[in-house]
Amino acid sequence: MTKWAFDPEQKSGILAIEGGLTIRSVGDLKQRLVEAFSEAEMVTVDVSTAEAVDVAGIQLLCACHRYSVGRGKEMSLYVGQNAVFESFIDETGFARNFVCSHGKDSHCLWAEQK
Amino acid sequence: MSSLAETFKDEAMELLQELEESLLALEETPEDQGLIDRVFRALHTLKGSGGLAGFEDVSSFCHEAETVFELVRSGDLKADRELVSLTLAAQDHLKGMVLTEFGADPVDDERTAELVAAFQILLPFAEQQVEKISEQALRQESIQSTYRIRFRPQPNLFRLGVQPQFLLSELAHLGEAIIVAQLDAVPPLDELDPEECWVYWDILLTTAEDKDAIRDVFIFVEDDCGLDIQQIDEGGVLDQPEDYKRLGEILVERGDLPQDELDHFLNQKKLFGEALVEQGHVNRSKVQSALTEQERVQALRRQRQVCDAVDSIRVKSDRLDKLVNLVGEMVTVQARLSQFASNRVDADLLSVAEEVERLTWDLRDQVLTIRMLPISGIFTKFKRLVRDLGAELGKDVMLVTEGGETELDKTVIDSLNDPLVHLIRNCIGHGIELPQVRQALGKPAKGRITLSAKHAGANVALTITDDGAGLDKAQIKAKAVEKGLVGAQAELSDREIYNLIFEPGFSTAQEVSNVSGRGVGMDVVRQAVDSLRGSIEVSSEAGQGTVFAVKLPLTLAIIDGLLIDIASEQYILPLSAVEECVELTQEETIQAHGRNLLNIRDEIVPYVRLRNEFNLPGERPEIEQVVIANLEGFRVGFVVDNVVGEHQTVIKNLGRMYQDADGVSGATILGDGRVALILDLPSLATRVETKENSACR
Repeated sequence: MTKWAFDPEQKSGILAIEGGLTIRSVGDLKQRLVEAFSEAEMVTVDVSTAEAVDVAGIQLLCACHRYSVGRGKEMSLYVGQNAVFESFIDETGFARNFVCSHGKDSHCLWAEQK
Repeated sequence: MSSLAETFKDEAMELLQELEESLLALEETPEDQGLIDRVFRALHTLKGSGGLAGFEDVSSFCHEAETVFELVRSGDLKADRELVSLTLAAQDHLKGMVLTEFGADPVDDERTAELVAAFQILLPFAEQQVEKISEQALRQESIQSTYRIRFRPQPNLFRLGVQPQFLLSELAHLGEAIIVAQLDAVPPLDELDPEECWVYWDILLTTAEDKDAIRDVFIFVEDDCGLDIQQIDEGGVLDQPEDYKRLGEILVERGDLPQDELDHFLNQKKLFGEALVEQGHVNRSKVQSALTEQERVQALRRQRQVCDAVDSIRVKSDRLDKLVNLVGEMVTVQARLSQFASNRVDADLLSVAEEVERLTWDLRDQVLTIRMLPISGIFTKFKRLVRDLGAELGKDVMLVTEGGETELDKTVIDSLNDPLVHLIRNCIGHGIELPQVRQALGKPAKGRITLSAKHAGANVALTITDDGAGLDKAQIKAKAVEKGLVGAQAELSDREIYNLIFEPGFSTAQEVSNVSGRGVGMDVVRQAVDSLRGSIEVSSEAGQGTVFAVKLPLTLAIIDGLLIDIASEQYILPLSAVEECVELTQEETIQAHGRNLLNIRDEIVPYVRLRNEFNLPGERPEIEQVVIANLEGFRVGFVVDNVVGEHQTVIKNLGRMYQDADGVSGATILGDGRVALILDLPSLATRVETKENSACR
């Protein structure tokens, strides 16, 4: 399940993912993310209340980041205190401390999570 | 018996102790994976070593318990109290099995079968487990190697229902893994089919497993992924950390950079990794992964060098004893040399003597340190004692230990076992109340015995505290009067009453039981502590508990002594007890009107005239010296003619003829070859006190 909050003045929005960020929901989530970027210049994906996560979900966020960079838009991630999410990206080797190879000068989405 | 068997015996005893310690701790925290692993490792190592040394029965018996603990390890079985009890029983039985080969009574085969059956009942899938165990066994004994693994799933992986995180997790369980997800193939969102997998992984795994075991992790996805496993470091080889590959070599090996491009970049002056990334030949993630590999292998090699440097060897304790004796002889000879040199006007000889003295003292300290052991070794035994005895008496008791790391000479530790066992038995038997009684008194149902050790100067202070009923002063006094140990009208302080329990003959037939000590009384405890040149004190509070405070010397071999003389005879006082020396004039003696009391900075200190105690002839000097010693918090003076100075005292036994000589704990040989007695200050003080009390009655 997702919730979309858009600020037309700032042209920014927050897409909160509240259920699972998993293979079961990635098809639907992809659609929500594409819609979000069609509307906003800056999108924050809030995963702080995501209850489950898998590689397909993380890959989706990574692809989304690349998509945003390719369109000159900004994407950020809000993890909050989501320990499930944090430990997952750590245990599966996503967490890192260098810039993204596809993101030109932008930070890797996972760099901040290291 | 072969030396292999002897070595196995030593190792087995250590492992069984480790097993017992871990089991007792596991009983308190059954979920502790670290403890479960310790139990498993002890059983597994014992099994392996037993098989190697020809103790097949031990090996196969261990196998049964080990198989059960493999289930505990995997979470399929709980380490409950019953399993801990069964394994403790197995531990006892194993000890018997090992010792049988060394002349002990053979173990009961029926008991072996019973225990094996008890373990097997817990194994519903025993046969399936066998293979797993042997794999585990091999893993733990092998040398650790580091592998570079690239796992590149085909895009359809998710559709096959495979979750890569489980594969990575399984891999991480094989050893120490560093996992880096490679994201360069992930397309932008609009091009991504989110049900396809474009992420791949580089993993560095340090493990004792072989390549096949790693491949097995991917067995169900092998046809749907690219899998490259390369061994990049082998643990057994002693390589220098710096010898490991350079970044470029790693990237070429991984296939992330062609060799010709490497050669091209090596001709440039730029930082290699940076240049590669800047020019887009390799992405940063891959450089990072290669750097991680380089750092990891270098760190492992450094770690191995440290481990090799701190390796230890096993030495028979009797060899150490011989070494300590030799050092003792050397200290004596060195004292002679120093004395000889100081009597000659020869600067060269004096210089050599001083050098020998310095080296001898260093050698003494080093050798005594080698024989020091942490007291935790015997503390562990007591946990078992408390557990079993508590269960036998229907009492719920826990043993808390503190200061297990405190080190004591091995000979002291060896002799300490029996008195401590007796004290703890007394605490449980007489001190700790039954759970229902404790609850009625508002105490926790579970009794608590605390065993603590700490260094106090040249001594170790051991305290055994219980939160039980405490000593009954009236009952003790009544019994002492009945036994004729004190007069019915005697006015005794609390301390004097409590100390009556250490008097020979205080124990009564009613008190003798399996629990309170195999028919021996607390006097045996005091004798044992005395023989270690230690002291024991007891204090108690009704309803709150009892505290036994035992003070022991760190070593029984060599002590720092204070050399004194009386009537041309020389004696040694243990320096650890000495606080200060003051003068005593004839005038002060007269002013005291025959009472042996001294005023030191407004403190009245009683003193003992050693000349009188030892019936030594001759006149007292005009000014005598009083050595003030602190005996269990009480300051007592010992009057001597002269204080000669500090002396490295090698303790010699007095032999059987004089072993019970009151007031003397040993002897030493002085530099000029004369023998000096080492005085037992607490017993001298007690002797004088007793004499005076008798005179007052």
